[in-house]
Amino acid sequence: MKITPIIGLEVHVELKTKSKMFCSCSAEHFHVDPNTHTCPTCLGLPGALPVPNKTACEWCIKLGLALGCTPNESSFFERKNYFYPDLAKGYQLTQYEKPFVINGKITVDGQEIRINRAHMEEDTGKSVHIIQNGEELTLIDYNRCGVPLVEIVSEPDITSAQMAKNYLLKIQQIIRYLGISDADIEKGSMRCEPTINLKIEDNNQTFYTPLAEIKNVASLTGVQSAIDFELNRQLEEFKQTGEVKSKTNKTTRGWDADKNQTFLQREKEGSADYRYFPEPDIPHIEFTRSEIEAIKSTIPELPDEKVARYLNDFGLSDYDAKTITADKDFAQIYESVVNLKVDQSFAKFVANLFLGSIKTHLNETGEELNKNKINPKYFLNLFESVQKSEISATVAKQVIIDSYQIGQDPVEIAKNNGLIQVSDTGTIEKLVQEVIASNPKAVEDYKKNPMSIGFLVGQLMKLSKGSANPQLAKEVLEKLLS
Amino acid sequence: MDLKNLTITQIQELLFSKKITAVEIVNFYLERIKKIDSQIKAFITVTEKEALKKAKVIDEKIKKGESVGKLAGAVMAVKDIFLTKDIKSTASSQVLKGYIPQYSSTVYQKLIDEDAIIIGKTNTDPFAFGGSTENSGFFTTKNPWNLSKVPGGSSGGSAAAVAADLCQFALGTDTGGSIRQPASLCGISGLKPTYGLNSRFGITAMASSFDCPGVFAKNIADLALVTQITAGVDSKDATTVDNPVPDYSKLLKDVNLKGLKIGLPKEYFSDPINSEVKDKVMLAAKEFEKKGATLVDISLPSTNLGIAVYYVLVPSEISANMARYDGIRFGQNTGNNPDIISYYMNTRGKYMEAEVKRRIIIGTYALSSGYYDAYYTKASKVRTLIKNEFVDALKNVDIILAPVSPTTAWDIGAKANDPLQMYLADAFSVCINVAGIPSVALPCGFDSQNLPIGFQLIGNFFEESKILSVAHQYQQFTDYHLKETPLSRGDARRAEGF
Amino acid sequence: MSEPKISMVDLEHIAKLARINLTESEKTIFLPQLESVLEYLDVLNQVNTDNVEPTFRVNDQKNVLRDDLIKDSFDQKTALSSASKTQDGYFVVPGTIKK
Repeated sequence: MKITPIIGLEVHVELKTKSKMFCSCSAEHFHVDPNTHTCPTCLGLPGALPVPNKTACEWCIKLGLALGCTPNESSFFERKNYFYPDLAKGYQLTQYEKPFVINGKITVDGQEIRINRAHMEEDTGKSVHIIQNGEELTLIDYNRCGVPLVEIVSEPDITSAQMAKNYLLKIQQIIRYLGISDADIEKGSMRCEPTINLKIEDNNQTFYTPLAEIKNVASLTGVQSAIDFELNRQLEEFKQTGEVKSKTNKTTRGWDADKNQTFLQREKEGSADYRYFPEPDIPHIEFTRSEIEAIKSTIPELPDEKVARYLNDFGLSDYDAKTITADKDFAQIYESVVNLKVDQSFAKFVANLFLGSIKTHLNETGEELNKNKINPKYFLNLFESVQKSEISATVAKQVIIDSYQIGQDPVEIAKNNGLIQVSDTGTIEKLVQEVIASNPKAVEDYKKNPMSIGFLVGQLMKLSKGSANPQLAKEVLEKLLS
Repeated sequence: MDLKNLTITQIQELLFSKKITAVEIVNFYLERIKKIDSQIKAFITVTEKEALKKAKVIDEKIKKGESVGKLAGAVMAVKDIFLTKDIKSTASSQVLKGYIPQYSSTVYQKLIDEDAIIIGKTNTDPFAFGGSTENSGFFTTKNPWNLSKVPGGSSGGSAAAVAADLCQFALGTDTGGSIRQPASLCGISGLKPTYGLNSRFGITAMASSFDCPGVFAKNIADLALVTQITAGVDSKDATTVDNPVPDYSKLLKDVNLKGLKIGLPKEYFSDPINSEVKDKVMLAAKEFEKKGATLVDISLPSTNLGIAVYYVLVPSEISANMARYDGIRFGQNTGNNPDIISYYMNTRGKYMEAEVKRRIIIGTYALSSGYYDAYYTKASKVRTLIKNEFVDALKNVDIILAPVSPTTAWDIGAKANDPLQMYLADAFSVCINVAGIPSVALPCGFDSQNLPIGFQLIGNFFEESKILSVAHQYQQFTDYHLKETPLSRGDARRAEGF
Repeated sequence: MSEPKISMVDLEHIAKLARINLTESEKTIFLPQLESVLEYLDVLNQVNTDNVEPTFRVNDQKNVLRDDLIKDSFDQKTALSSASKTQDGYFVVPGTIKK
């Protein structure tokens, strides 16, 4: 039996526009008193009408272009009709036949994943279910109703939970690079719904299991777990029932993070009849070629391009390049330093400090990198100092943190703390003699095995409080021990 | 002072020359309402307090020599599907019984900003679904010419109020004829402007791509004056058009009937038209001919498809527009139910009137899976054919003249059990809405029962000036628009149809 | 006479889709009324619409868009003012939702 997972991902992204998609209410809805950002339009009052947010439309196109999509020449909104209390109008304004952009692709771990479409729609309000006096009640807050969402639909090109996770991370990264959304999965500004089935090849026959769409996956690990669980469940179910995919047996399943399993929500999804038709209240939308070009020109260098450039121009390793470029702001600050001197060894030097000392420091303090605390000149000074063997690499890693904290030139800090590297042979010789005297066993080990010089060098570094020139220390040790 | 048959301009002359006060104007109408409206029941709400309050403000300003709005002294009635902030707006449906809106429709706001005075909200078919005002969730309005007859619909209350001189002008909406048809049946004038001229914001939506807010009055000059104020782009309605608004009043005289080519579409003068209606409308055409116009026979072959196109597309849009009426944020509801689906079904089922339900069901059917292409897409394509026929015809003639209603006002209750019959009465009005072009209805005579007959003048997109000025000319050499209803003359016996 | 266009089962299905409860007597009255209307609408099938573009919107407008600016919203009291049931600033759905 050969089993191939077939996974497609639907991602909803909440755009961080100032106003909502179809009205001028504030789009803020976190920690806001309920029903304080509403108006006739987003409350679905009688006679209210929608007018689309220009920025939201432009950002949808921007995202589409960043995902390699083609904009549709002409695009329009449609009504998706269904009843639920948090859907004020009883229909959602979305796009069906003519979304803003179609046919894109992104590369994830060397694998190409095609994007079917990206379109604009509006979010619903929030429901809160409570039990009061033994009664089940639902409370509705319409502050979120009408907030702009971009829906990105991938083709079912994803073949594992791991790939799904990486796809989502990539999408999230691109969105954050574009600055159009916080794309925070925990906060709900990025939501993911995988649709899963299996291709089973057995004895020259091919079967496809019924499609299942999984909802309520509220975290990245959740997505992975849900996919893994579902792949397994579908295989078992197929072995039991042999049921294959048909037009009417797609199901909707919820993800229970506590029990770590999916459960059936709605049987026979095929019968949900949304009765889509073109929205008569909103004229169609056409972006000209030059408008599209203008939007395209606002797209910053995207992660893949940046990594390629780092590899080529800075000579960084793939891992280092990817780590620095994971966050756009982090990368930009790195570049602001590196751009001071066109020199691959400088670039690598700065990369090591950023990924080493500075990142560690930030992890400890829980801060984000503060660009005001990074002075490119200081890095250059430090680099040149290290090149001249005035400061050892070890000391450099320490003083850069001090420099970040107090805003002083790290070379000054090293000088003030007596950390300038000792490269004076005479001083080194004295230290070597001390080390030889205090470590007789190590000296004997060395005489048997010259590769063990490292220990003695280490002892000398310790003795010198890191200020000895380690290369020189090694040389003098070897000389005096020979 | 008798204000009947004065134009707004003439009333304002009296007002500004201090021969009358705004309060006196309002009281004139309030007294007539108290005397007459119990018989015709045009009003759901009479806004006596608000009207007198506004009138006093206007009088103060005039006394002090301060400027007032362009419609100061003009008393209006407003169809109850227009939301009027803080004034009950029910759309004549039990669904919205008691609803006090939190905001106003743009058209209404524009008028009160120019100091028009609202005297009341008028009865209509519920949510404007109907052609006789009989479907109202509260009561039926009677035709002031004969109390056993319908006033037409859906804006029957507004038409009856103007016809019985209970206000100077009234707001209505025309989605398939709902201004022109009651205007004709009540012997007054009514304008359905081009789709997109007047903002739909704040009016309960019936069919989003058909609804046209418009005006009723006894004379064309008033229609021009009021439309001047209501027309124009609204940033809250994306379907309004950003064209400069012409000075309709000034342009009223700007027409030369000599050589005017008037198209008479043959499909509008055949079955189902009643012979008396046909005679009077033809007579109107002949009047124009006497003044030098040329009558041209034209054909609009897709006319017979208009009702089918209309009754696919309009209920489809209705079915979506009515989905928001769930009793959660506004409107009546049935309280606790076993589950959410039964909550929706019981609330909507209990309060929606029969015609409201029928149209939602037809529309839901037409949009449902498997039927969308056959109905919605197909009808939308035939819509293109109908629209193009008008545009083509208007390349060869300047204006089109036609009847509005195949018959005069019918007995209350006569068509109540046969919705299809009711729909077929729209034969001569719907195609104009399908196309989106403007048309003005005005009276041209009476039948043997002394019931009014009207005709319509149809123009191309945004040709309100042209049709209004031609209509205005007609009212210079005829006097049908000056006839008083038996009720107005205080002739109660006559009004009961004896 | 051809197949009826709408059966009672169809009507009940559509009514549920539209979330409108119909009483037994309403169903009995509506069914033939709807049937006659739907039959009437058949006339459209005979029309040749090859190569005809549908008209979904009457005006030729396009690109009616709004700048991304915030304008005043209703205050909470006004937003809730027409609801029959509210609680702590929320609208209360007067009905149970099964989770």
